[in-house]
Amino acid sequence: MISEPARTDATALLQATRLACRRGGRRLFSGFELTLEPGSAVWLRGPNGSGKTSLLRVLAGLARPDDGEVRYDGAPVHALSPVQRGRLRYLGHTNALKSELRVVEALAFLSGLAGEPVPRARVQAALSRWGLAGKIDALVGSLSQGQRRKAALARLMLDDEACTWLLDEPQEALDAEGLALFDDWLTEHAARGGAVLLTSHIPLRSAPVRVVDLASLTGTGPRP
Amino acid sequence: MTARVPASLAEGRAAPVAPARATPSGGHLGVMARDLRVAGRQRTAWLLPLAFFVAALSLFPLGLGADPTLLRRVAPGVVWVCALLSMMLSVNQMFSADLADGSLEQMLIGRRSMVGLVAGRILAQWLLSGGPLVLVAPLAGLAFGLSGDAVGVLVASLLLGTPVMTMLGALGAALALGLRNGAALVFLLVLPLAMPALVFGSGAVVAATNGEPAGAALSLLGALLILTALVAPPATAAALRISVE
Repeated sequence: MISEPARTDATALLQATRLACRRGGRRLFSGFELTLEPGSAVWLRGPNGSGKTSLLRVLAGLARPDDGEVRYDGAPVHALSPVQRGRLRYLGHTNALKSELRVVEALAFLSGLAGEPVPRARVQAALSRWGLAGKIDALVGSLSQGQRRKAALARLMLDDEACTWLLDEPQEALDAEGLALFDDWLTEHAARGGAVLLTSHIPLRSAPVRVVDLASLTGTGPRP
Repeated sequence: MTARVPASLAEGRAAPVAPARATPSGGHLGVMARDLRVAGRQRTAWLLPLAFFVAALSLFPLGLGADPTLLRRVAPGVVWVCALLSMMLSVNQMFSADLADGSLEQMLIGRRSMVGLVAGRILAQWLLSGGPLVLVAPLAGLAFGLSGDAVGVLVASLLLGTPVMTMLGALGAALALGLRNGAALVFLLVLPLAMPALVFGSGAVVAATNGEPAGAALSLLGALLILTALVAPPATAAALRISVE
């Protein structure tokens, strides 16, 4: 899947070809190729400063690459239809939850940005899976870092359809229980036809992920 | 704990937007509802500009002396300048919280039109900063000894002029987003652009105090409002996209 010649793949959810990115005059990466099909999970690895966050931002359409292009369902990332954009989820280092809002309000706002407003019962269900059932009406500001991260991850569970996830260190601040749940849930997401690209310094235990090393730009097959 | 589903205060508040659900729609109304809700829980956001407006106004009688004719003559300019400064006080941080907590990135990525989201953000900002000024302006006008007609024109001019200032401020805030000392930069960027609104706005009130018709100046102010409403939100959306990149 990696380093394959540039061609438009009709079945690919995300296809990146010959991506290059510079930051402050320094070349972070170049010639990066990636294809995400339904059901694929990719673990993007690389040391600090190797450009993982920059790459995710380029893939999400938040930043422009210096070379190459990113396509979703065959359409360039800057010309996606609202429906196509509604299927893209990006979780950065920040959780995008306002501290003055209640958890349910913050999650409803985020899911409203992506498309359909979500009923309270579904928010409740997603939160209980992360052990935050009692926090639905708590102010985000009163939650701990780990709880906020869990709430931000619970937001990804509100989707009806399997989306394409770009997650920047999603396991940050999670406890052991949260890490195990995240693993299970990644497997579940891939099983129902979603795609995910994530960066992490914490090894994924059970989820079947393909590893892409940004430092060498060489892929190793499915992890043993 | 899980069985307890408290009757959320939030649910009741969101009722006009989405009756059966706790979730306002995600478009411009969603952003507006969110911003008003945040402001309701963090009152300094809208009380501070209002307090600044009143405090700045009260300095003029102290500085110029309690001469009623002089105060009546300077009132149109003084009230307008204080309104402009007070609006700038709050508008320069309009997008910085959304940038810091990542909400802005989510708005840019989502399926909603960024121009619509910006419009919702601007509307909320105006309701929180311009709206209170318009409500307090009659008191300010009367305290400076303006006639009833002139107070009416003052309110009308602020009603037309403050949204212009909010929109220009939003554009400046978007351009200067993420810069060090951005607040001062926004001020310097927006001040020249806000001059026409200041000239027509205070001009209308001056005309009214002299017993002349103020319609022409108010019409020009209205035209300025329409022009700004057409240009500023798309420009702000584009500036935000660039600032985040």
